[in-house]
Amino acid sequence: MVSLDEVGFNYDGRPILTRITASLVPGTFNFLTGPSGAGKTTLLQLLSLELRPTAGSLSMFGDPTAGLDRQATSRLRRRIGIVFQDFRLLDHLSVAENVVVPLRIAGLRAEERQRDLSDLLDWVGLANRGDARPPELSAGEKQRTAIARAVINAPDLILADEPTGNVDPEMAGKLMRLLTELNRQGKTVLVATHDLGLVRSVKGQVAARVLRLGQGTLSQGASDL
Amino acid sequence: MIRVWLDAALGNRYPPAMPATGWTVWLAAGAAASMGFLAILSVSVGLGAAALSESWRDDLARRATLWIAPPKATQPERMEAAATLLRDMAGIAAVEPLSDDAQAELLTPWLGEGAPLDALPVPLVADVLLHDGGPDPAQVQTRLALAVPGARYDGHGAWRAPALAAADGLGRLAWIATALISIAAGAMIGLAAKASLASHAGTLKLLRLLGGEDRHITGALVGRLTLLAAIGAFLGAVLGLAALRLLPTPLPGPDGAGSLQPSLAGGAMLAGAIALAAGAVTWATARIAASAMLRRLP
Repeated sequence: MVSLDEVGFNYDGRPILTRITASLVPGTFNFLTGPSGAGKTTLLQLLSLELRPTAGSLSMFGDPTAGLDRQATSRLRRRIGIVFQDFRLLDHLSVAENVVVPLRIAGLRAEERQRDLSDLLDWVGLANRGDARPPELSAGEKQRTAIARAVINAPDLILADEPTGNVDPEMAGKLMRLLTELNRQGKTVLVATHDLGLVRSVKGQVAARVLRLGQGTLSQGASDL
Repeated sequence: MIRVWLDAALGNRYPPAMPATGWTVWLAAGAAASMGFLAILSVSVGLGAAALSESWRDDLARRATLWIAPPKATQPERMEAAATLLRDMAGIAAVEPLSDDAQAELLTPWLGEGAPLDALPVPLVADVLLHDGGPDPAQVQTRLALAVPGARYDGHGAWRAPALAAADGLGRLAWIATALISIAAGAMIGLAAKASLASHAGTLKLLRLLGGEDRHITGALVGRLTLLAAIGAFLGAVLGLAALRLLPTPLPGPDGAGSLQPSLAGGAMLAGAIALAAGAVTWATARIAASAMLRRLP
């Protein structure tokens, strides 16, 4: 489904990622761990096509991403749900409006956009906060809004960059339960985190694979747990 | 409420990429409103000056003055003789001697109220109405001088011509000012649009990452900015019209021509045209800026 073959990425001539070879099997839960600055965010940016590999090849959903034009890139991105570390919510829109942004982009009409919205807001615990604006939300509420936005159009792949980085441990647990539940529903999930405690807690709930990133290269295993 | 209205007006498929309130909105709408205000003033001056010039030009072709110099004792007879002579000439429609009251009113600004005109050596004046441009003033003067001593025919050319030149010059200046204001306002609106777009670069990037396509994102940004600029320019133009209504009419021509105050319908059309122009400038500028910004995004 997602396959990286000898992928490398240089920034200003400096290698950030080197010879990354990995694949994400559909329906799996994956952690991407490593210290700060190891290149986790860069790897997620490659997978969301925000950056393009400077070496190797990246295939998404069976198709190579090299040479994709801007329109094809947009279509491919609609199959990916992204949870940003800094939420990236639009402050001038309400929670409900933020959540349905991907549906508007997909061209759904207003009544279609509302169909599953209340269930989704209920699921992330924001049933009573649909009219609130992001500046009125706590960090946990913002992140739950971001998760709802990431999954509302039923993406094939969910990428989460340090989704618990700005919340307390209790909220972190709740957020991870949301992500594991999505995985149980068949979604492929990749969570980048430097919090190994979080990895341990989730591995007790689902069969999660851990990809460890260090010094720009990737290894797989649980030895660091 | 404003946002809902804007979205409904624009039929946006995409979420609004910029808020309906806040400094970016005020920047775009405010710049357009300033443009509208200044543009309506300069356009009104241009139109007023053009109407004044046309009116004076028309008056020059329709009127002349006959005056009979003192001595007073023979003025009525000489006026009658001169009038008779003129009425027989081609191009003269009528000769209408001014009444004593009309003549007194004419001289009041120079001599003051209640001046003893009977005791003063003032000429007797008649209004000459022309058609088809009237006869050649020099030929009329020659015939009058031979037939009626002390009679003088004034075709108004000597003082109307500089006035016409001044009105034409004022009109040209107003149009040049309009052009300069348009260029400056276009640049101002363009910069405001670019600033608005730059301040929402993060939103553009987010929409791209969520799968948005360039043309739709551009539409979501440009549509709102365009509408805001058009509304701002229209309101500015209406304010300009209101300001003009507060002014006295400084360039009164015959029959009110040369007024700086357009009619209600004319003002509405001007304001609409200015709003359209502001919208067009904003649309073009914002579209170019948004496209350039999107091209830099992955």
